[in-house]
Amino acid sequence: MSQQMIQVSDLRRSFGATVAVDGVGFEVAAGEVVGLLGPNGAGKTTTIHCLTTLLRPDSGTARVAGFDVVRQAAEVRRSIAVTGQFAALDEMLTGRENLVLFGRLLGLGRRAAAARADELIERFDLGEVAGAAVRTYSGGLRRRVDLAASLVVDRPVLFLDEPTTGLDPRSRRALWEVVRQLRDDGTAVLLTTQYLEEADQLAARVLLVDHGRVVAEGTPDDLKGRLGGAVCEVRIEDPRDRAAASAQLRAAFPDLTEDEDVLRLAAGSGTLTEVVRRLESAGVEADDVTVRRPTLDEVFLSLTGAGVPDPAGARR
Amino acid sequence: MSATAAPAAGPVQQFAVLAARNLRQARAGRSVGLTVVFPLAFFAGFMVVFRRLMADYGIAYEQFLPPAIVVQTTALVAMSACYMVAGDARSGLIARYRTLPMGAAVVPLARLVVDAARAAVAVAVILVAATVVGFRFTAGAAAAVGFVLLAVGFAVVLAAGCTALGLGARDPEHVYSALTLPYLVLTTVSTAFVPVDAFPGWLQPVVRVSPFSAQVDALRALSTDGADEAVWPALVWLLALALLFGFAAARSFRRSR
Repeated sequence: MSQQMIQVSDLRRSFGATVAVDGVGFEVAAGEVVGLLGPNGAGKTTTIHCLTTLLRPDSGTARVAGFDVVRQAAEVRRSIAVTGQFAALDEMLTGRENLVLFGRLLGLGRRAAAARADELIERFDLGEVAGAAVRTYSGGLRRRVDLAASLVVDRPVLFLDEPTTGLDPRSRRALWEVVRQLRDDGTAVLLTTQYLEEADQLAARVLLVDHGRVVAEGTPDDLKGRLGGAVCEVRIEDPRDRAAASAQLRAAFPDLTEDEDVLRLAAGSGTLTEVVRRLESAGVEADDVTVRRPTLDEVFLSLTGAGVPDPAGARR
Repeated sequence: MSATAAPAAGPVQQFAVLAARNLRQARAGRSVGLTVVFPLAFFAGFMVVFRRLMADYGIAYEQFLPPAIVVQTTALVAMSACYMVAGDARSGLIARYRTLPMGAAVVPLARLVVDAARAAVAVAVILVAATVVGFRFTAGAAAAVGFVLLAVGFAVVLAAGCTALGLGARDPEHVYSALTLPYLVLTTVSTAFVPVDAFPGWLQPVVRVSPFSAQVDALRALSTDGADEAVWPALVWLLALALLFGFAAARSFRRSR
C-alpha cells in the first residue's frame, strides 16, 4: 500500500520566542510505522499536537487521512486514534468503564461498547485489573489501558506519543506486538520515542528530530550505515593485559580508543582475524571480542550532539 | 483485529454519556459535602450568631438569610466545577476529548447540566432547613418557582465562567484557590448578610452594583415581598454573564492555540 496517510510539509510552530517545530516535513503511508526520534524538547510532541488538531500550526501544511488539520479538523478527528504522553483516563472509573466510556463517546451502542471493551481487555491482558479503579493502577498498566482506549474504534491513522514511557520490558514488547499488528492491518502509525531500541524495533523509517528540525531520515539500517560500518570491541578486565593488548593493536589500528575496560576500533573485512592474531601474539586472553554495527544510539548522539561524529567514542 | 467500523458519534449520545460520567464524578468527590454540609453549616452558624442581633434592628433573619446562603452556595458549586474540570485537564482527559470528533459545546454542556443538578440539590437542602426555622415563601407559588430557577440559573452561569477557567488551567488546587478571594469579596461586599446601609458610605455604591447584591435582592423579592422591580437587575446580570461566560466556555474547549 502506498497511500500517504500523513503528509507534512514545512510545518512550523512557536511558543512565544521559542521555536518548537522549525520546518518539519515527512510522509507516512498506510501500513507504515514511522518513528520520530529525538531528545526532550526536540519538537516531537508539538508536531503530534499539530497533527492531532490540539495545536494550530503557525505555517506549513499538514494533511491527515487526506484532510487538512486546520481547515478540516473535524474530519481529521474522525480519522485518528491518539495515545498521548500522559495516560488520559478517568481516574475514578475502572479500566473497563473507561473503555466503555470512550466507545460510547465514539458512537458505539451500549452493547457494542461493552463487547469491544471486553475484547480489548482480553487482547491487552487486562482481565485481572479491568474491574479496579484506574487510580489504583501502576504507570505501566495505565499506559496499556490508555492505548486500548485509543483503539476502541478502528482508525486509519494512529499517533503514539512516547507510548512505552514507564513500561516494563514485558508490557513494552506486548505493545510493540499490537503496533505491528495494526501496521499489518494497514494502519499508518506515527510514533515518537526517546528509546532508540523502540524505533529500531518498530519503525520502517526513522526521522531524527532535534531543535524542531529533521536532522536525518532513513531506515534504521541506513542511519547506522552513515556512521561508516561496524565496530570491533575487545573487552579485557585486567588492566595490565589491557595495556599490552592496546599497544599491540594500536600498531595495526591507529584509530583505537579506550573506554573503561573496552578497546574499540573500526572494523573492516579481516579485522576480527587480525585482532585475534595480535591478541595471541601479545599473550593476552580477552574477556570478550565482538564485531557489531553501530547502534541507533550512537547515530543519534553523533547527529544531534554538539561533538564531531565519533563512532568509536560514542557511548553504547 | 476485528473490524469495528467508526460510526458517526451523535452529539446527544456524547452529551448523555459525559453528563452521566460527570454526575458520577460529582457524587464520588467532595461535592456532596460542598452542596449539603457547607450551606447547612453556614446557615446554622449565621442564624445562631446574628438572629437575635438582627431582630433588634427589625430584621427577621430567618427570612433575610436563606437567599444569601443560596447565592453563596451556588458560587461554591460553580467553583467546584472549575476544580473538577481543571482536574480532568491535568489528567489529560480533556486533551483526549479534544482529539475525538466531538462538538465544541458537548463537553461544557455536559459539565453545566450536572452543575445545575448540584445547585438544585443545594437550593432544596437550604430551603428545607430554612423552612424548619421559620422561612416562608410569602410572594406566591409562581415567585417561589422563579426563586429556584433564578438560583439555579445563576449557578449555571457562574459555572460556565468557571468551566472556561478550568479548561485552560493545569492545576486544580491553584485555580480553585485563585477563585477563593473574588468569592469572599463578592459574597461579603454585597447585600447578602447585611443591608446596604450597614456598609460605610464609600463602599455602598460598590455594594449596590454588585451582581451578587442583585442576585440576593431578587431572591429576597421572590421569596418575601414580591417587589418585582428588584428582579430585573438580576435578570440583566444573568443574561450578560450568560452571554460572556457561555461564549468563553464554548470557546475554551476548541480554542485555537
